Amino acid sequence: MSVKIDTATQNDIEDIDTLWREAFVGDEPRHRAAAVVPLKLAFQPDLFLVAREDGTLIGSVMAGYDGYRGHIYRVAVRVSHRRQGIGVLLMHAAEDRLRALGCIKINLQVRAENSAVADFYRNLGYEIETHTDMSKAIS
Amino acid sequence: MNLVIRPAAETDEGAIVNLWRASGLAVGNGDPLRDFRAVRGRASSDVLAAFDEDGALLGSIAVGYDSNRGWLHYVSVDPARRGHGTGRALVRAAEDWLAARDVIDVHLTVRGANAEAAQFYTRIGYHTLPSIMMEKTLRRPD
Repeated sequence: MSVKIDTATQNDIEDIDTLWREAFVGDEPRHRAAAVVPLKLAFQPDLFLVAREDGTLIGSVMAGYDGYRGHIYRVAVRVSHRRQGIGVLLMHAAEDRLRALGCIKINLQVRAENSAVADFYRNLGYEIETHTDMSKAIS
Repeated sequence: MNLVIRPAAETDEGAIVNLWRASGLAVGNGDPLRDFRAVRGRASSDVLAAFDEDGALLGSIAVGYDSNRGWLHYVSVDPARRGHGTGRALVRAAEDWLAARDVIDVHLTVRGANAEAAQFYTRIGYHTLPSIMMEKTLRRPD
């Protein structure tokens, strides 16, 4: 198996959409690849990474840097390729890209109903904080 | 009280960093001075500051976005001058800053112990998300 981590391009959007529909069931349209990926590629193209095996897209991570904190979103691996360390490769690559931008701290949020995922991040050195995430939709 | 909110200037650095420290927003290995310099005046982030009619600093907020979300940090008001809507006005100004950049989702984090802050954000339209927050400090580059 030859897995390569790459910066995503416009040509990957369809495959990312397929990956996300499998990994994030029930996503709202505004969170789908067609809406999210072009924005990221236009703004911080180095921070959208994909994993490919022999050219086939099998994983994604979207990092963000707001000038203060790094953020990790949309870590996904095709169901057929899980438990092979691909998520770890994606995370390490995303951390390297954030570090190169001067980021010293990364925050991420795991859905409460998805607490098993927290173990994945704990193994990568992330610690659970007693912070609350609050949000508002503006327009 | 007349309130003027504008992007922070380089010369506001000392007053704002002192305010961030006085507000208890610098904890652990945080470095408010470094953060001020990293955030202020960037394409994707800035520090906004509120002043009274005499030019005295009342409060400040750091705002940034990463294409996916807008983030608010260091929301702070001079402890001696709270209760006059300065915090609300600063959050509104940061939301306007984000809206001008087509950002729809605004997020912030409240420390677990800070129920007063959570109530403030709830009053101005923020919702608590049932998520687990995780954090990692990156090793500084050698």
